[in-house]
Amino acid sequence: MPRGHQYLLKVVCLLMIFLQGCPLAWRRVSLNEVIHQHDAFFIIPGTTTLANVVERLGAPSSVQAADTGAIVRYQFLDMKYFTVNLTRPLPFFIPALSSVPSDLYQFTISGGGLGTEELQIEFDKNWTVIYYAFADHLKASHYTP
Amino acid sequence: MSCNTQRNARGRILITLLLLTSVVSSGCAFFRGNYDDEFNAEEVAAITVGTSTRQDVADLLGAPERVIEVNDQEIFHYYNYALKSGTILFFSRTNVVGNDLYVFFSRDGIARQVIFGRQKPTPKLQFWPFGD
Repeated sequence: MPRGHQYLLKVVCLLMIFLQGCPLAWRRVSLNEVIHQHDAFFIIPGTTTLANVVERLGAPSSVQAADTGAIVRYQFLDMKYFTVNLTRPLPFFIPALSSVPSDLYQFTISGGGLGTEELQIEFDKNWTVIYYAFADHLKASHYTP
Repeated sequence: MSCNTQRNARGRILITLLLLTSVVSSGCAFFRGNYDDEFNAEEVAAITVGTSTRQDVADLLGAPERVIEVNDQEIFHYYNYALKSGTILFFSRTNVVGNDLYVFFSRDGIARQVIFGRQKPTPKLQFWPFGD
């Protein structure tokens, strides 16, 4: 193995050891599959029925009573979270810190976002579509320190 | 290259691989779980629209998770969730997929419509939190 690669490997191993215990993390939680705008193009207010919608999109996440009939929701959620503990490797360089509770010198930066997407369809009392709309909040989900 | 040098080189590679494997795998975790059982298509198919009563449906599928009233109709709502989660070192991803089943009843308590539809695929086991 070339000397340069050996050096790089050692640095990577050391970095991985220093960063043990998740001082650095990218986490993501997703709920349900996304329904895109083009998936809903077949919906025509006044014509499409609940049966048509279910045939194409599956059963909705919720059905709720409304004055005009019912509101049906297909929900999707995406949460992204990033965290970094900048002081985690310090005890390796300053051994005296091992005896001090890490809370006293810990410096963590973390942040994230929760984006909810939703296809909302309102039906009349005969289960025919009155309107449909996307919530479009998915952009809220991002890794921000 | 002498036999000793080759052995040393192999030894170093093996130690490096072991070290890398132990370091990388020490931060790994995989998890899967579910909330309630998946729907049994045969049991759902056994619900006969126009004949099955609330009691018949409850006998087949059990008590519903929720009972909703919409348009003077009672609706039994059943749902289940499947979860898969993977963590490798600093990267973690959890995917959750829910499936729903609705049975609509008429005012006299007879099944009028079964909303089952296309079942969503089981969640993917992933650890990479970027991309789609």
